Amino acid sequence: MTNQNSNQTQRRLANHLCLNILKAMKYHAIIAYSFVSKKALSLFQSLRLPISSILIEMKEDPVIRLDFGTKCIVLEFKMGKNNEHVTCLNDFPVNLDFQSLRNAFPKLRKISVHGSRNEISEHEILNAQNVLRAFLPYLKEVQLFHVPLGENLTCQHIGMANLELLNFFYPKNFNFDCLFTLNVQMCMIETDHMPLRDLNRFFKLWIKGSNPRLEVLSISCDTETVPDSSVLLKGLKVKELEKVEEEESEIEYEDEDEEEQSDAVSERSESEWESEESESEKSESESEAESGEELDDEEIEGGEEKKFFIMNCHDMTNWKFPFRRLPYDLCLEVLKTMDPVEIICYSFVSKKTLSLVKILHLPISSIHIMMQDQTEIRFYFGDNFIDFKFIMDSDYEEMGSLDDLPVNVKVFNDTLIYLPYYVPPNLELTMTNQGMSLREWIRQLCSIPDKDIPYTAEIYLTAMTLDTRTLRNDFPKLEEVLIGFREDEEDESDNVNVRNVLREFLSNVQNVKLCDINFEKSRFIQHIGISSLKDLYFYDPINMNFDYLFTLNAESCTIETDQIPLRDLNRFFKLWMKGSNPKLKKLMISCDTEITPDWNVLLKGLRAEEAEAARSKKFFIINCRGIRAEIEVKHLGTSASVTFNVSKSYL
Amino acid sequence: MSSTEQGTSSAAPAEPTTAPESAAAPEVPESFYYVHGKDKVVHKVSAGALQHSALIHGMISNLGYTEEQAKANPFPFENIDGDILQMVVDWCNQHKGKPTPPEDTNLPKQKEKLFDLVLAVNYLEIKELLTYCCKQVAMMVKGKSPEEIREIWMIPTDAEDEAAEKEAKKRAGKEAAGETAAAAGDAK
Repeated sequence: MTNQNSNQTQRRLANHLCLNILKAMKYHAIIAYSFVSKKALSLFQSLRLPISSILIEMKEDPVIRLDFGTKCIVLEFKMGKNNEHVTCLNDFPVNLDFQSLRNAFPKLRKISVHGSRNEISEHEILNAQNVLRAFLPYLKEVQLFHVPLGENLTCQHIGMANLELLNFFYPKNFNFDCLFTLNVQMCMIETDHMPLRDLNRFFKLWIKGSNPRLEVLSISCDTETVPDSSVLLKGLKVKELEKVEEEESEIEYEDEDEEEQSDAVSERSESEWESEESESEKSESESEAESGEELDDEEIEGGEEKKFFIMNCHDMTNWKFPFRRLPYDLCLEVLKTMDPVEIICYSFVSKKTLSLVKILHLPISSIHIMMQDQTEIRFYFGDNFIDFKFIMDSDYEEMGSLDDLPVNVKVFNDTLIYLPYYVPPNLELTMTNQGMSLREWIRQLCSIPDKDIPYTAEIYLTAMTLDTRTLRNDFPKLEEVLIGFREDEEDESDNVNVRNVLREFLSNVQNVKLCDINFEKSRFIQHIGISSLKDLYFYDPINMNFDYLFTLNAESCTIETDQIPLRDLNRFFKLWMKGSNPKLKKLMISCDTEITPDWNVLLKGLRAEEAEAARSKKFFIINCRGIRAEIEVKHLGTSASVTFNVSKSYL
Repeated sequence: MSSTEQGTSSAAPAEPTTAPESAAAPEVPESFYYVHGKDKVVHKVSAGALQHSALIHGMISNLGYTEEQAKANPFPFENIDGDILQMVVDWCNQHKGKPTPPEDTNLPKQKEKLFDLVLAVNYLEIKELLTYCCKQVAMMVKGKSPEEIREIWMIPTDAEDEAAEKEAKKRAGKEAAGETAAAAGDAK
């Protein structure tokens, strides 16, 4: 039997097989296996378990928690309760050993030290001191809860470390002078009183350039009396934040108000000139600050909330750069590193800057002008777009014109993704109107891209009065225009205006789209049909007379209407076979209907040949010139359509 | 050559920056070159670090210097301030033989010197550093309105531009008139 056992111990699985078995085991079993022997531990280490973080809580009964993504394993250490001494790492009642601490906790990133809330003992101070001395050079985040500060453990010692976050929660013996030596990026202090005079001194020194690394300082305390903000702000030359911005930030404060009901003073400094900060990085208490420093003075329960800016000597707005003194090619190099939205903003600085931007040949794929209730100009850059939204004076009840001055211009910059309608695009900045009318804005913006970049316009005649004398200059490179008409009655003057506008556009554009046009009231409609257009599109025409089709001179015509005029189309095809509409290449008429149209009416007397098709019916007809055309009829669900495609080849 | 002598004596502080790199690769003896700026302070730079500058690299490959010759004749860059040249040399040493990262955190922090730095880097043809510097200049106006851009980049308005052009035309006219008068005087 013993021989058998010894034989079995001598026979071992190959390492890779051991690993395979371990991989099939659960995490807690693998960890248990690692305690079997040194070899087992090394095998365990080679497994590289996907541990995302480790939390070690050194308390009466210590806990080690290993996180595996969504799962975790907690090791609870039940310590002997017989002796009354403090638990230590050697499982003996001695103090924390400074020498072995680093070895015990390698790669520590964040540490939270908890002190007792009531009495301060020498032993406690010594322990906190040892822990911090051991780890401070390697840590990024330190949280101190009720930690007693003393001669050998001051805030200066801790604050001077190269930390990212330092959090004091009700520190004992805290001296606010230590704020001046803070070297951390973010410092949060929860205390029992607000040291207004010390903070005032701190801000004054910050203005002179102290604490350059500090990005956020937040001090909060519970108090029912409103702190005297004049003490805090004395001699600071602060700039109060605009009310609008305050309103926006109120939302962010609501949650905090409910939880803490505390007064808070926070400070945010602009980071180094090369770094850009995102809003998401800001904590709740310092939601608003683009540059410079901000002070919040907030009172809860119907109290006041004030925000102020201060600027320090390193502030970038005070720093100038003689850009135009750079050689021409270097100016272009700088501009090439900028985002398109910044380059376009730069083009508004002066005539020379505009000409410099034109040389850059921005990769604009197309431009779309939309003149509805609000005017928008959108630049497309591949998958991205920049929107210029012109905010007009809403009190002005008359119809807008291109001579109106916008109140301001909101510039949005975003990616073309399918977002819900209520998700607005990213607002980049709000520009002043630059003293330019809508017409001048359109002209300037449309002059930025290369000459051959086409642009389209959507003009709703209900919203905008257009001056026909200047239209060609206002929209010089227009490729496509969509004109929206009134659905209700039009008076004669409107009709004349529309006719003039269309006449101007028809000589320039290739594609015309007409929305809600009334055929009975718009006598000029024949002019559109006989114009030499590439594409003509009708959305929901009113009282459409399909005889209109016989005079069509456009290459392609699409009509979205409420019925398919089968008899009219039959007549149209018969005339086409006799030689009419020689320029027409495509005609499509579609409508919403649940009843399948009687296609026999459409095809009556055409002698059409039927061709095979999967989900539609296709027929071929030939005209007197031997040109072949395909008629495709379709009824799917609630949509019916007739598509007439003229073949390029002769028979 | 007085400048060189002065330079060699003052080049001592620059040496520690290059020493660790030369110690890191003892097997391949690295050649060093010397450059000086307007202040005549000579900086000792390794050939590897100077690879970044297309201008200096071109000069080295064309001249075929030995190390002794290079020490005796430092490359003079009289149009570059000494402290700016120091910044450039430091950057070249830091990035010697390394692929340049897309974002460089080792850029000089003195904002007021950025203009001179851009010009120097452009002159020395250090492409990567020039790109970083251009990005820094661009960052100054990130998210700014046209009015702020004008202020930060000190761009004159159209009226100021027109006035300056008129002034320049006037001056050019006067100079031309002066030249023709002088030419006529010479002819007489």
